[in-house]
Amino acid sequence: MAATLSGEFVTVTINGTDYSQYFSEVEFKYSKDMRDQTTFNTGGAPVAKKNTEGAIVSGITMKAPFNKTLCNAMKPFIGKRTGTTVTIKGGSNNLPTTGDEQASGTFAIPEFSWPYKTGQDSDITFNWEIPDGATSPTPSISTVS
Amino acid sequence: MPQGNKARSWLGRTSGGVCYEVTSEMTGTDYTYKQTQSDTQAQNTGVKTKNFGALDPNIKLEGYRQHTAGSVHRLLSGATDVEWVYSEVCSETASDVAVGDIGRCFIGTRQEYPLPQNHANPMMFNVPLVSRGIRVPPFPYLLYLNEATKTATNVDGSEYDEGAASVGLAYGGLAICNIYGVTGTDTYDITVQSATSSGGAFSTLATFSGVGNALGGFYSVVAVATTINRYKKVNIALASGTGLTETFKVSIMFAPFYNL
Repeated sequence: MAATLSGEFVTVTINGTDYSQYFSEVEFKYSKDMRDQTTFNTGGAPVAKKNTEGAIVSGITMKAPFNKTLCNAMKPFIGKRTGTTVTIKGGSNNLPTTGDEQASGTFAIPEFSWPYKTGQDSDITFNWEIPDGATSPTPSISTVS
Repeated sequence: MPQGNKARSWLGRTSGGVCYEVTSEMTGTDYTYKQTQSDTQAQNTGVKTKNFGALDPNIKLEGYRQHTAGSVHRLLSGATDVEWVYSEVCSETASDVAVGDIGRCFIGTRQEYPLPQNHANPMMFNVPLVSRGIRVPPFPYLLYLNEATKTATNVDGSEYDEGAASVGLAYGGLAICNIYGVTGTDTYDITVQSATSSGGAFSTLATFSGVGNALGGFYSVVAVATTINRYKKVNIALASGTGLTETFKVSIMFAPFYNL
């Protein structure tokens, strides 16, 4: 069956405000810090690797064409040690609604890169990380409720 | 037109009488604002977090290797172990930069000066600068730009409203003052000020005393715990001389930190 999910129906909400109109790409990263618990087997039997899930590792990369309004709006979140709530929703060929995908967590911006060169696009890339001052550091991948 | 194409830049140093507008030589910059990050993970959270550490930005200046005095090439390829002050304002429109436009400022030292050459391309510089111990806030904005004839001895720049999110910040800041195109001997005291309301009582955040008679790229650090109010402006007061004609050009950029 051919894929029918368009990538255009995305919302990016930061601290309760919808900033979707400013971003061109967003990637929510979510993984587990895997632990290798492989042991020998009873009686010297053959062995298979045994991995268990460790701590959550997460972050967000957001890319936006240079926009002064967006840059000014992001200032409060740069280096914010307690973080702020970021929620990304993706709709199924339509506006995001109940049951669609949702990723959310508490993040802050410790780093951004901004090339500005003649004759080229000027895109700012914001890297969001979970700050150690976040009171609710656990991110989630869920569905829109 | 705007994306990457409309910007103005200045390069100077605090000592040695150096500051020039280098817009015509520049083709672009690569800038990264970065705090060092360390992995942290408290017990019972099950989440890896990051501790944000020292500010560690970097910038790479790119442009044409002009050979004239005051060119970026002549400045950066020459003196070593120099504290350079670089300012750049970017416009979103096809118009010239204006008060409130944001950019990047960098106070750093030259890391290297390569001289690449290819017969098919113009002579270009591509020079990285690294931080030299001064915290420069993200997205500084142009607060004042004056290249017109002056007839007054005390000039207030127009107010800039930084917005509601900037109310009551006290995490430090930085003002940068580029004095260039000097033709006379008058000196001025330039102050960056802030107030809680438009037209209110402005208090001084940063001072550049006795400038205007020599080239210079200056900066002034606003200390942490100093309250930086929402509305900003620049005041230029004659310190010595007649002040009847413009004898220098000035651009001033400013930014507060929004977090420690």
